[in-house]
Amino acid sequence: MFAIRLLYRFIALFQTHANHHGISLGICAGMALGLSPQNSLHFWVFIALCFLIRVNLAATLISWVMFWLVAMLGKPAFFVVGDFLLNKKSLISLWNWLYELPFFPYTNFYVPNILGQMFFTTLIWLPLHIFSHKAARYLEPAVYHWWRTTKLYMLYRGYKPYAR
Amino acid sequence: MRAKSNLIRIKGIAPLAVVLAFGAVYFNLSYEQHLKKWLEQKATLAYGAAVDIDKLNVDLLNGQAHLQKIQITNPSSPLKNLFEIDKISLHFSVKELLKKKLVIHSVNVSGITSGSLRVNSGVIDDMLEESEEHPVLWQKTDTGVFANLRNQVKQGPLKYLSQITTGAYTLTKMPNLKKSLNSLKYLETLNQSFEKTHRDWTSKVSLLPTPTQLNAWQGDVATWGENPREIASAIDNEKRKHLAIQLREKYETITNELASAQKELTHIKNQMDGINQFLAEDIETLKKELNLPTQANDDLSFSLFGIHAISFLEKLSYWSDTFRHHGTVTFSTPQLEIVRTTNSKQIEYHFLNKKTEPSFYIGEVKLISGSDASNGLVGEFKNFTLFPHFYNYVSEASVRGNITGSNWEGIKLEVQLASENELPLEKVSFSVDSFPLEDFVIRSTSDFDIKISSGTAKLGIEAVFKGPRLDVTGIFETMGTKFSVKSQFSPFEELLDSLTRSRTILITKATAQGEKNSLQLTIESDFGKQLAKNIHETFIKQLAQIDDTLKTHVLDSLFPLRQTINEKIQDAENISLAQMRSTLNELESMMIYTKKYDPQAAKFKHRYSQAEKNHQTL
Repeated sequence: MFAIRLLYRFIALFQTHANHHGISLGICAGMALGLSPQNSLHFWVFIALCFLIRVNLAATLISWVMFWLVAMLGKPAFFVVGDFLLNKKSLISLWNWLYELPFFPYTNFYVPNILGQMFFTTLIWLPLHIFSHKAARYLEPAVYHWWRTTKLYMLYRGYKPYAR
Repeated sequence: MRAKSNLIRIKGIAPLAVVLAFGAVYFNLSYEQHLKKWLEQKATLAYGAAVDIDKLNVDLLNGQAHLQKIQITNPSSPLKNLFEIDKISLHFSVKELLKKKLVIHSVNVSGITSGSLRVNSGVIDDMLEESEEHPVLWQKTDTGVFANLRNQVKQGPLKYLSQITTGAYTLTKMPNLKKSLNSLKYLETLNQSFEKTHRDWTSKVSLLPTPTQLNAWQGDVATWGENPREIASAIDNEKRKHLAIQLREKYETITNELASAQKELTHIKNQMDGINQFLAEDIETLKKELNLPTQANDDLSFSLFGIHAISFLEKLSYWSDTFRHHGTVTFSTPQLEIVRTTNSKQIEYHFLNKKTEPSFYIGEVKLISGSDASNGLVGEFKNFTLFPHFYNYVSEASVRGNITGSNWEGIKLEVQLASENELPLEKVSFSVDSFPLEDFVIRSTSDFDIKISSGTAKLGIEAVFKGPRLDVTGIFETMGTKFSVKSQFSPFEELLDSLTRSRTILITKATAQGEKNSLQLTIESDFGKQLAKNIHETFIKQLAQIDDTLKTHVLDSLFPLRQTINEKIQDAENISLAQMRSTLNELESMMIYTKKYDPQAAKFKHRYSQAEKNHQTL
């Protein structure tokens, strides 16, 4: 009983904060996760933030998978960007400072393709947030209607009493 | 309309805290186990044979780690440890660890013993295979001689000597080599031909009279006594004559078949013995396939000792080269340098700063053999880092002490890895305060020889590797006389070349060029000669042992087929031939009564006896 209730609550989490702001934040958070390698510190920080900040986790999950594919396919491009940044003379003192900071080196920023991904994440965070916010506004009614007709939603509704 | 919510998910804090708490507890309870396994795996992979750690304790807050009972397998004798270390204590910087840097201030290694027995074999699956990522020998020099030497060392026939003699090496290679065994092919052919023979015999079973026939004949013959030939009718006598001829003809046919079968069986048995010739051939083939030593192609001395020396030099050079040329410098100032490194996984940049610690550094390592530092050997390593060229660290390794029981006192071996004007510089010095001399001869190109039947001497040698050149200086002092030696080997390959070619001579004779007066010293020792003789005898014994091991393995491979053939031979003797003999006995007992009706029957008795005699001989 406890396990089912826990599972229910976990699924329910994905339904929460389905407002436009939550969805767009979720997409941005998913992008950050998808573009961060799992052995880096910032990946786990993003995971924690997803549960702490009011984001739509369903949007996060979908976005995560999509941007994980982007990270895979775009590895050479990210490498070129990261390599360029690490060799940029004006930035050397910044990298050197970060290299000597506690905890920060665990992000592996000194690996060119990881830095490229981090840079890309920072660069498109705001545009993606604005774009996904607007897109959510237009698409929400259709998606909401579709979601209500799915079997998964029916199942979720059927088990609702367990949530209490 | 829903009220605008805060950015923070209040309900998420508690689950996250629980997850983090669980994570922290799990980490605290299990990270030592994970770290131990990781260390064992990495060390095993790097070393090539099992490295086991019994216990690992890490105190992250105080920056201390303790490893207990570390076993390092002897690669050429997997049931023994090359070294067993009782305890290793590390003191590392927690502050630097937070910056992802491993800075170890001191390492104390105590209780080193060698040759202890292992509970489990230390063989790992890939151990017997050639490693593609083996350290490249003498990378800093681009001469072909080093590559040749490396090949020679790699192809050294005795590299798996212990495993060959214990059979471990051959066992792993045997399944692949089975196809090339001539003895196996021979037995397969023999088996096929015997199958055919056996089929022929089976088809000839129809020649034998059935038990009903035999009973009928015996019944008929039994009645003849009651009615002898003299009073029997002519028709009866004619019938008896007919039966007597029939029995004789049957007897003749079976006797011939029995003789033929026995002949074939004898032939097959002889052929089975002929396998010994193929066994000898197979052992030679296997030796070639497995690249095993023969008396003709190796005199052992270099393989036994040189391979260890070269292996040590190889590793020393590899590490020296790796640490010194660890990556490409992309930016450089006196205080800051950026190095781009490539490992098997990825490319990464390191920001080296003179004001901060290196990303990997070991300050001091102290090794104490046995339990007491004052008795035995003490080893020290200093200043190991990934980028010594930038931090100007001179890495040092030294061993000091006495060998108790052998009168060697004040032994000191030091190795320094440094650089001079960006040129690699390795310094090796060896000195002994006192060591015994016995039947020692110093010959010179001048007009005197010195022979010391018994005494002590002092020796100090310093070798400096400057790129491809080797400079040697040294002092040899005995009976109040000093000999100073200064030699330069340029190119350095000469020394290695002599190492690979002279071999045994190297043990019995050493030469050095005097500095000013061109004094040529030749040092010979009876001890060295005796040592070489002992080595040769050991080698002969090892070769014999290898032959025995290989023979056992080949015989093991042939066992199933030999067993099948032997069973068939037994079946043939016990069933087919026994059936024929039994029938012949029956017929013979009847022919005692019938021979008077058939005068020719008497001589077949002789034939059967001859066949039986042949069988007995076999």
